[in-house]
Amino acid sequence: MMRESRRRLLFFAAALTLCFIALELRLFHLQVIQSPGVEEAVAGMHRQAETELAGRGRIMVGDEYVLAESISAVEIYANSSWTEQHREQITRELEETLGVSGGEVRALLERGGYRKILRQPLRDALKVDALWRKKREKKLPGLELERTWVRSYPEGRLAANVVGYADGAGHGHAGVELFCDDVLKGTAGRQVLERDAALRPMFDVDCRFEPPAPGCDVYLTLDMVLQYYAEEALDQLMEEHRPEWATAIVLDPRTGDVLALAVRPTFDPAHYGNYDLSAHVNRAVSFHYTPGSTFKPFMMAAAIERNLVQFSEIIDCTTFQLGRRSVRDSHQNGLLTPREVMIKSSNIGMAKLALRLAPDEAVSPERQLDGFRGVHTTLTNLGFGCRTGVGLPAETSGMLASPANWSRAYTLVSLGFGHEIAVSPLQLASAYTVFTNDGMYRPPRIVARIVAPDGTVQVQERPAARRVFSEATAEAVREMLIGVVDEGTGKSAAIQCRSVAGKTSTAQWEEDPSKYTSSFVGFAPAHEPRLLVAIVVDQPRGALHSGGMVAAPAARDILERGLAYLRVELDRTY
Amino acid sequence: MTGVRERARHSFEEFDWHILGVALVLTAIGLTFVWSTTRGEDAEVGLVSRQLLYVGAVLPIVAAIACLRYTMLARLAVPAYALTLGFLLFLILANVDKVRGTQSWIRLPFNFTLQPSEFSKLAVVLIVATYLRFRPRPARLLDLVGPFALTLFPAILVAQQPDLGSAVIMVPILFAMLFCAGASKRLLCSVAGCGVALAVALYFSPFLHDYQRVRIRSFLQSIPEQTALARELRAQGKHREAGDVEHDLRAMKQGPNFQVYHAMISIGSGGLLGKGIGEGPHNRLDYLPERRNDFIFAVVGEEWGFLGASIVLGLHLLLVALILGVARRTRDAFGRLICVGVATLFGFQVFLNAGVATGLLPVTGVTLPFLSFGGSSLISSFMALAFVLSVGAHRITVLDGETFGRDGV
Repeated sequence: MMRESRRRLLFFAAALTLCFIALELRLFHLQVIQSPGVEEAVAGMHRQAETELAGRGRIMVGDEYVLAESISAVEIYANSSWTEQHREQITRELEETLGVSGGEVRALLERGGYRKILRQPLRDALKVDALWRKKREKKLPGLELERTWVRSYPEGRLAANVVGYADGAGHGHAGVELFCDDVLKGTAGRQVLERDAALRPMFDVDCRFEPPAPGCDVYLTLDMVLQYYAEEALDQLMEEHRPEWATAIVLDPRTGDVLALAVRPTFDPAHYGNYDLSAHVNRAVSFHYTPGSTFKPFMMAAAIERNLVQFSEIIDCTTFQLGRRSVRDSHQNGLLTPREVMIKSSNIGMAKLALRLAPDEAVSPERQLDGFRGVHTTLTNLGFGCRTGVGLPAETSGMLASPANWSRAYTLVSLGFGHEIAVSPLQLASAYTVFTNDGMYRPPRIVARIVAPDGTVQVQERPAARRVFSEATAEAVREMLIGVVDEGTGKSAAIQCRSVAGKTSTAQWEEDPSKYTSSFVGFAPAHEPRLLVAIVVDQPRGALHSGGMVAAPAARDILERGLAYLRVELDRTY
Repeated sequence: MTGVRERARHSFEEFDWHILGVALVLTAIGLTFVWSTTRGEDAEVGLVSRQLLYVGAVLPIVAAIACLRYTMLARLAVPAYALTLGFLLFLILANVDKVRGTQSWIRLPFNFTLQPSEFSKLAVVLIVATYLRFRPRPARLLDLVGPFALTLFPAILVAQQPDLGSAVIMVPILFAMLFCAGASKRLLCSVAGCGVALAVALYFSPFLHDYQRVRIRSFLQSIPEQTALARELRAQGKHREAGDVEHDLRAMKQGPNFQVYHAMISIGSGGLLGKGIGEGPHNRLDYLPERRNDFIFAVVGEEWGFLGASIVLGLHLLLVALILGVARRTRDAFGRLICVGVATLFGFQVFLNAGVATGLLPVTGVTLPFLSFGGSSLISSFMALAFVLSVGAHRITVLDGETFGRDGV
């Protein structure tokens, strides 16, 4: 009988022991077999690498103009599970320091979750300081302040298409902001933070903070006064002629430095989101178009360089028929000297001169191709068909077919008056430096130097100039260009008491003859150029559409005011 | 009649130091981990010293009860049972403030609280033992009515608070005591079968709180849901800079899966040897809900690893074995039943607690005896222990082995 009670006790003890063995097995499974997997799953839960944005470098012109800078700002985060007991205090303190409405803050705090208190980062330096002070004094329980940056563009729309814009996360998206993003952006700070279950940062654990390294400042070659003149001239032009788009480029003809670059339509970098994407584009470098007559001087120079032109010869510019194609002038011309061909911008004359650059196919196909190759090399040396490397993003290389693909009969003729080629406005402007530099081509440049936060200056070397034409050839064409402004199509670019050289263009669209691209490229003073201006106007819609009437006056405005600003002496008495 | 001094000397000589020793070791481990869970918080010293205060207060009570001849406990059983029922009824009728979602606590002066449900388990052990001590072995269904009524009445009151864990634990206590009192096995099995059927019916009845039903369901659905939760949580952490993260941590914290998920993570990441006391990130960074009370085993698992957790489980098993050893040596039915009841109380509570923390069992919310923070739990555990010590110290030496005619089961 005694045995039965003991057996029952024993049975009961065994049952309990079984329970414990089950527990042990489960523990073994969790802690020994599954443990590595669990560790992996938890890896990102407690510890997270967080970054602190670095201050983005400034975009400067000289030391006095700031085109873009980053202003230290603060982002305020609240987590409802930390702020629950302190809503009154937080509301009061924020109302006091920031002047925001208490009701709004309270509503946000009551909504729960982890959220930003302000929609925009707070950038008012005084308020930011006050906020940090309160935080240190522990008057803002449960609020987390995060350092951030706000990109500011003090000059607004001035040179906006050159500057571009950067987004809130500090990534450049257009212009110099994009092209120089690597130097501007700096290195973000990094910190591995442990956060508790309520996402509260626990700073005392594993605190290894790599502070952010600010970015370098980028100095541009622009001259803000000239930029302002260019913008104003464009505004006036836009108002008068209502074109699709227009651009004005001012280069230093001796160095190739970009002094001004204005584009319409444009945008305000501080509120880039409000503008259409087409307004962000820098059309001076990203678009190419058929240059038309502004291209003629290069073909003329190529012919002169090869001794194919006698300055005194007479060219019959009445009609020109080539196979089934006839070339026409905008108005009937008669017999013209080469200089008059340029001044009157005769397509027929240029076509005939261009044909001399290569022998006829009938004579020898090989020698014709050699001639094509020679012209192609000259044009390539002038920067056509390849990017200028000015230092702006999304540059087009324009369009220039390789000689093998040239039409044996027509391409040279078309090139004679600037067709069958597409160039960007900046390519064209830069190519004109051959006439201001005695035959040397100067590639353009827009970034002058990069200054590191520690003061180290890295000068952006000017790309080497290269000879394209001889001094005499450049001189001869320059004389013709002076004539264009003095007596020819470019009269409206003339400035009293100053010698101006230039060339107009009114390029009719092949796909739509009712549309034109009007342009003017010119420089002054003609013999010792200080400024080179290119104006390109796409589809002027006013009564006038010719380059001489639309683009030349804008160029004159810029040249006249610019030369006065540069205190360049008058070089003429009439 | 032996004098009081004589009796005290007798108790001292017969005192089972092993049992008290194991309990004190467990208490010390508990204090260590309570300290570990409060590290870095303002309450750091407060909670540990408070727990120490409880230990200090309970030891004289243990001595006093151990000196008491345990047959006195039979006289105390009815008033104690009545007092407990009174407290439980008071909790329901007075509609006290809810603490952590349940009405289990009575506020006392000086910021102390009393949790009658912890003591109700002791009352049930005593009353059932008292009820069964002079009765023949229960063989008919009618014999079970008394013990079941005595147990289920407080159990239902406790379940209403709702403190499901304490209520559930009373059932195995009752069964174990009936079993060791010699109840017919067939009878017990059929009653248990009916009970299970009743439980299924209860699940669909309106008596169960919704959250309790959710707990059971969530346990049945278990793992895939938990991993999804983890992924979501991690994704939210990563997208913090996006600012307006919409999540309600508090709601998640209340979810039963959330608790078990984090407990399992804690235990799993502990590995073989653990991360060291106070070093477990899950504990330190407040990811573990209720980590001082019901989930302290998860902290042990994280910081002491498999080895430490096994030691704690082993010590508990040793304690249960020692108590059952006392039962074996006691020929008196009352004393043996008390030992069996207390052993079941400890054994099943540990099984439930650790089972919940490791994801073996649905969330019930019972404390881990001697380890969990909390005065009621600690004091009631030590009092239960004192009953056993008293039984061990006042073994009735009988020559014929037929005292009360109840030994020959």
